[in-house]
Amino acid sequence: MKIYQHYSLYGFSNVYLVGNDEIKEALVVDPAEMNASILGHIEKNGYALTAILVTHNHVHHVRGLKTMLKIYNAQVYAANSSVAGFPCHALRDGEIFRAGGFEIEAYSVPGHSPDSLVFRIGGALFTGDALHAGLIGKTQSSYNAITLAERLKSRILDQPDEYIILPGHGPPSTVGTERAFNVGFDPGYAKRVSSRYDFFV
Amino acid sequence: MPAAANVYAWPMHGFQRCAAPGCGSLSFQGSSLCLAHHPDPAAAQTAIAALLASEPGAKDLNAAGIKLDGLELAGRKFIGCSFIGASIRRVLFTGCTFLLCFFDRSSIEACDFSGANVEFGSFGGSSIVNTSFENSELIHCNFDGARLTETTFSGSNLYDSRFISGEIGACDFENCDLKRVYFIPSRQSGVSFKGSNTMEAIKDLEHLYL
Repeated sequence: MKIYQHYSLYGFSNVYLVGNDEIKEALVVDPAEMNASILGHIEKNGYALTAILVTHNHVHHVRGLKTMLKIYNAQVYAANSSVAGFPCHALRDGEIFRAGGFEIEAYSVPGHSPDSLVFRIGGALFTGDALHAGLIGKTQSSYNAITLAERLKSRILDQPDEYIILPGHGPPSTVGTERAFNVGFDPGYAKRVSSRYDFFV
Repeated sequence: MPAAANVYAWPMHGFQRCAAPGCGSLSFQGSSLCLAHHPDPAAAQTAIAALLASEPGAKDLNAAGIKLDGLELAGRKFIGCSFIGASIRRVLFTGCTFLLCFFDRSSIEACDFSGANVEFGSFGGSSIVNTSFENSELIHCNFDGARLTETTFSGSNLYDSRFISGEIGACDFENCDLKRVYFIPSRQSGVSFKGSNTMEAIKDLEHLYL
């Protein structure tokens, strides 16, 4: 597995290209944008882009979907049956599927958005905006914050310490680090923070 | 400010689990066992240390738990490597490149990372003492939970890095680029930010971009 991280200035988002050199296929996680740099890496490696995984349907993570699908005949995977007008394979919590030659597990982690998913490929967890280094995703209510924290604890924090977190924004982390230091799991975090947020991307 | 958009490639370390029954740790480089179950951990670590010293860099290396002491590794390039839980003392990493490398829960003491290029890496929960990161590119780096003591980052670009829930004592962040840097440590004392753009750092949970 090769992982390429692209830092998109559109929404300061991370776009991930995951390549499989054995079968020369690749998938993209959260196509915040599609540009010559990403295209170059797909083509330079001779990959066929066969899948696009969407952690959640916020524009800073899917704006490049339209361009990508103009170039590549890729299957889109998301929690919903369509994203930005494009049909998707709608995933369920715990669903295991194959794409790009990888076995992928999807975890439903609503809270930041109702359709938030985390994808696990091997020991890499693509957490979108549900879980960032040191923080959990923004929510619109304390109820959502509590729901998100609880779901993350049961779905993500029970993974091995060494598994890596590749979030939709910001630096990477590991499961062990998030379990020990993420302030989003502190008691009282939901009441302290969530009521102050009325806008998020 | 870093390049507007970067694409990096990492062949990730393989995430193979230790073959010892009931062990959930990752296997050490070149073995089916983790370091704790390795029949000769000292020899395994010595072999990796020799490899690091002799090669221009490393890719896809799982050196979790390794002990490194007194090595000179200046200018090396490390891609997709794990030094999780490592003990690293008196190692020269000056001018090194680290892409998607993990030092979580490691102990780093009296090391020199000055002039290094560390991008999209994690030092979460590590203990870093008497170490220099001066004049480095530390972009998209995770220092959450790290205990930083008598360590300098002066002259460095820390764009989009995070220092959440950690402890920072007697450290220098002078003349640094702190744009989009999260400084929300649980304890901070004797820290100098002289000449740094602290107004562009995020210092409380009310001003998150995410």
